[in-house]
Amino acid sequence: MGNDAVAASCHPNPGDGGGMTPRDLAAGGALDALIRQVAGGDRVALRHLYERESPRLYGLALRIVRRPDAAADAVQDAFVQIWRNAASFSPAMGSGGGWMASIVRYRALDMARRLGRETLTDAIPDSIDESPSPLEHLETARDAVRLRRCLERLDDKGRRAITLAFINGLSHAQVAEHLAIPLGTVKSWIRRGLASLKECLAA
Amino acid sequence: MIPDDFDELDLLAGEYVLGTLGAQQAKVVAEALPSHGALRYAVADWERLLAPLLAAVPAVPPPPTLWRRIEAQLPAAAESGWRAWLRRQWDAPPVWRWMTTGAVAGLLAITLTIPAALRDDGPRYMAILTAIGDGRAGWLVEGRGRVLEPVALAGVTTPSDRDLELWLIADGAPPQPVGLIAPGRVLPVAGKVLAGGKLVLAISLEPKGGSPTGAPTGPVLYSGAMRRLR
Repeated sequence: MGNDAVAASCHPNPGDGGGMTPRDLAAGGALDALIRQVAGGDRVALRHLYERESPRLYGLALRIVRRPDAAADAVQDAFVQIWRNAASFSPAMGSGGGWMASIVRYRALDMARRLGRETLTDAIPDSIDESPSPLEHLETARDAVRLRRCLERLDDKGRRAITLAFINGLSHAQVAEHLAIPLGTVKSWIRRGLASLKECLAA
Repeated sequence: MIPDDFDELDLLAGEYVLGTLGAQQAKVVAEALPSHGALRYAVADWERLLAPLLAAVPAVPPPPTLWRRIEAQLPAAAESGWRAWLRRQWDAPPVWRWMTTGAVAGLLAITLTIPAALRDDGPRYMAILTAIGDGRAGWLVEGRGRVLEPVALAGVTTPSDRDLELWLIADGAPPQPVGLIAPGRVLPVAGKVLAGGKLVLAISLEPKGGSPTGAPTGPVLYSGAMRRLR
């Protein structure tokens, strides 16, 4: 699928380091510098990138595919893609960490779909971890504070459906199963939630 | 199908980034991305907006053999020193790009100013239009007499069912349509309009044949101020 394209996508709102703490900025800067070195063909830089980011990225993949072998495959594919597409990354497009997380997520989502995510509705909801609440982690950076404020404005159902789906990589059907509501209702909650979220974030 | 309406398109992009779309729909979106600027913009926007939520997911150490598996998939031959250096120079954002942009603008200023001074056929104008998303220089628009000529500075792909439309915004007034952009096409503008006050040019993504309303309907992709060269 077009993951290469996604990796190469241009991020809007350039360079909004925004309300990040100096430590966040320094860490982000180091990550961006590593990605630039990878773009120049530096394998040692890729290794550093791997050592620094692989636990976080493996955690994201595992959460979505729920199988260690598939999560490892997703991270492997993602790093090969990071190696190939590093030149298309520019710090002006968004954070390096976000860029890598997106690459891993799309790989993992593809795999989850291939593993039959759409048909596995009954087995999966038990393993969904809803604690700690994702909102509790949204405290520090300015972007996160804004997202938190806007998520809190949504009604409970829309907020739960959106955070559940994003963090756990669930299909509409799985969200419906987990929240014990009809599929069509979930779809409209999510769409309504996304629309209000965008409106709030753009304000 | 990717919707034409931007709000609909944006919701589809949001569902794609959330990951809730089924395999079929996700594939349609992924395959449309490379050639669909507005969709790519919307997806990138959602990725950026939702990314902070991922901090809730705990890190897990990957299996110890994973790095060796990745390394085995990298191309065997290392680039020679000077090629790697050249590639780094080329790829290094954004100083290099700004130098390129500056060089192009400088050269153009010289080539436009000298003949104009010699032939004295009216003032020359120039605008560099940068992408709203990432600030890269995308178009150079040259104005002379009563025409504007847009030249793409980077590869531009427009979906086959869309056109790029150029707009002229005079100090505080609503955008005036100038015309659709096509390679080598020169667009006429009303007399003296270029000699007016502060002018801004913008390029938006519109349905085939241009905006049906006379005002921009699609996302504005590039913009930049017009400057008089002499």
